[in-house]
Amino acid sequence: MNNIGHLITVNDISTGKKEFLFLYITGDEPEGAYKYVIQGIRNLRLPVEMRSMAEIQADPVTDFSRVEREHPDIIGRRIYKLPVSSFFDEGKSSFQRKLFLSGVRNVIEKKGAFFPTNRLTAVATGSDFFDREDIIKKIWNHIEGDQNVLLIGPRRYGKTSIMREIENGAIEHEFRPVLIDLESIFTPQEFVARIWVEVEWPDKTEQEKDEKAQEIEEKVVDRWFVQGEDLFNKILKKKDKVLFVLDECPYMLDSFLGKEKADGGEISSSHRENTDRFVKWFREQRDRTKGRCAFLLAGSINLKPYLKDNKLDKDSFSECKEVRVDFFDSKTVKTYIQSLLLGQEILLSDEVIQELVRLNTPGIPYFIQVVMNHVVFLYRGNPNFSVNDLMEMYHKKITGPEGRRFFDTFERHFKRYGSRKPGAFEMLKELSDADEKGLERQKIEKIYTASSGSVSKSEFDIILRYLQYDFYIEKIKGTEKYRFSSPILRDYWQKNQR
Amino acid sequence: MDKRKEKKYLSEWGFKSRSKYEKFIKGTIEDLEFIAPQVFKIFKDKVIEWEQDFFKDKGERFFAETISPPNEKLVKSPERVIEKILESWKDYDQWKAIPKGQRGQEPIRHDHKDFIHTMNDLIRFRVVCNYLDDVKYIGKKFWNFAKKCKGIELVDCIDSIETPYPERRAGHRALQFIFKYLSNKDPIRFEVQVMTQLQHAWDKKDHHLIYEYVRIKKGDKIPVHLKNRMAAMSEVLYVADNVFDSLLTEITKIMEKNRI
Repeated sequence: MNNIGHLITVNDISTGKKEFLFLYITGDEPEGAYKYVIQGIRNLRLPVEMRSMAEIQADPVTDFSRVEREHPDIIGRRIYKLPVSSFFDEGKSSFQRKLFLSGVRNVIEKKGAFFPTNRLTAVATGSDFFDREDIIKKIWNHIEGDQNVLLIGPRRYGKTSIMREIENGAIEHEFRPVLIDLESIFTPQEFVARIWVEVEWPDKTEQEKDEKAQEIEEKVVDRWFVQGEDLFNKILKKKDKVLFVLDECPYMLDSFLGKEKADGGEISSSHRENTDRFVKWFREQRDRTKGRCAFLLAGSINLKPYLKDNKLDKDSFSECKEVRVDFFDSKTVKTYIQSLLLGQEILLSDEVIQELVRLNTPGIPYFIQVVMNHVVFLYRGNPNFSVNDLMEMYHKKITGPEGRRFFDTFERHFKRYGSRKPGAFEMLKELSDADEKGLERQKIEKIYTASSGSVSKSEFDIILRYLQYDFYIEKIKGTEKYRFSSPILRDYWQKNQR
Repeated sequence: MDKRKEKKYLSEWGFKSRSKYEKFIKGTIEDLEFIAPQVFKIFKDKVIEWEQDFFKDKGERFFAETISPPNEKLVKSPERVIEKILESWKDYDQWKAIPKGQRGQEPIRHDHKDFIHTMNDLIRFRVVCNYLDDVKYIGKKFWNFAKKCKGIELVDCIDSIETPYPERRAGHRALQFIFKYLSNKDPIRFEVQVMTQLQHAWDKKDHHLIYEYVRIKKGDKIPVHLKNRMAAMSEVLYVADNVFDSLLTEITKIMEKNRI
């Protein structure tokens, strides 16, 4: 009987592509909800950049079963069928502009579906890549101002998705993109060979590229810095400007330093010298190609303290502008959660949504995706599940032992703390028990000192900074206290890391 | 209406042009777009509910359907609202020009600003039934519903099915309910017509064969004998409706007997 309402058409004028939503009235929506939502959609003021590209229409429908007759352009197309109250904020008695606008953005700017899909195990692109417009804008501002960028964000925080968005937008910004994951690069020779292949033979298959890279690697041997310089000279002569999007830079440097072999022990001087030579050389190439090449370097740990900690040239990345992948705030978390749910035409009570927002704030896209993936399963089993059911699922399937696999990457990352690992481990253990109130810095220092045996204040400062940079912990504003940044990670830590 | 007269009324009401008045009307009836589907839904859901009640333990057949005017236009367009207001003023002036003793009933003159409280069909839709008996059944349900429902009040019901000659004027035979929707801060009137499929079919034909010309003041060009034939067709279909009702009763009776 839910077949009366408005058909919303979001038309991408540039491509002619249309997305449809049927917002129906249930009869028990809050007073004014229908009017506020439809008027909100009709009067929606689009951001300047979308104004000439989008057309939004809201047409009344009194019998949805006959909608194809009145609107033949919907035949064979997907229509999201949702109650009009999906876009109504009952608390504020207003239209949920941000939620609707994010859908319009998906259609117009990302050329995708109105609502994102949960890409839990894959890199989110297009309309599945949620929010982060500000970061993308910031990165492009730096690149277009001939500044290299250091994108900081732990794994699973959406960093790779941001890099893919930048890669996808490169042509539009008149750059030829070259994306390389540096995690699988183990020597400077490999670095040069990989760049060479990607620049010279971008259209070859991955296997052909690997073979070619192997060939080059064998040729360059000890002359990688000369050959590499030649390569950048060649790039300078090319017509197109090149944007290098290089992911996991610190992991590559770890390999150069032979950290895997050292397994927490001393790094050999030859490894350090070789790595130091590389970082200096790489800096020279970036400086020399300024204006023709741009570099977006990313890492799941912050490069600056990393260089200092590993006694590498501290200025080797100093020209890069830092852009930090921040958490989603509660509003963005709510919009993301609602978009994921509405995309599957799932309607949950305000109470459950509020709880989901609480659990996921500060928001980390990966954790939100993990939770929402489970929420969909829960809903399919029982569409009227309660907050208690949600919490039971959360403790059992996500932060409990069953959810361990979702946190593998964090454990792996944690290993990188080397000799500081036991101290850091104890700190996080105590912090996970301390809940949202957190612990005083002094107390954390004592815990660290007691468990690591180190009495050096600088050692403690480094690990505290690492944990902060790595988004494990945050300083509580206006205090000297620290706490876990993410409630999910905290709950997981509390249950599993003891 | 001739342009001079229209201009005179508009200027009396403080509007320099028709487009300015149209803008005003548009703003006044804007909210109706959101009230209309809600009212429509209430009735559509009720008719489905009553249909289910009606068919308890009986075989199913088409019973009734709540339908909106063509192109989903539950709300009268601003242009039509203006026409109706202007027309009411013209009719009133003509009535007033007649000497007092000879005047008929005073026609309704819609206030140019406050028309929303006097115009019955700013929101309108129809319930189309299979048999005349179904129309009567729905009619009764409407009366009871209006008594119980807090948000809806029955203002009037014009029964042009049972209206005898000479009071009955030509047109479709229907139950024409005028309700008031009270859930809005400012109560709104709306009209629901209940009629048979045959009468609905007749109305559809009359709409473009006669009514559209009458509306644009060209109705007098259609000869009276053609108008009469059109009106007679409504009566023919009314007779047909009665025959179908009798057939239904008799066949049902026979079949029930046979079942025993």
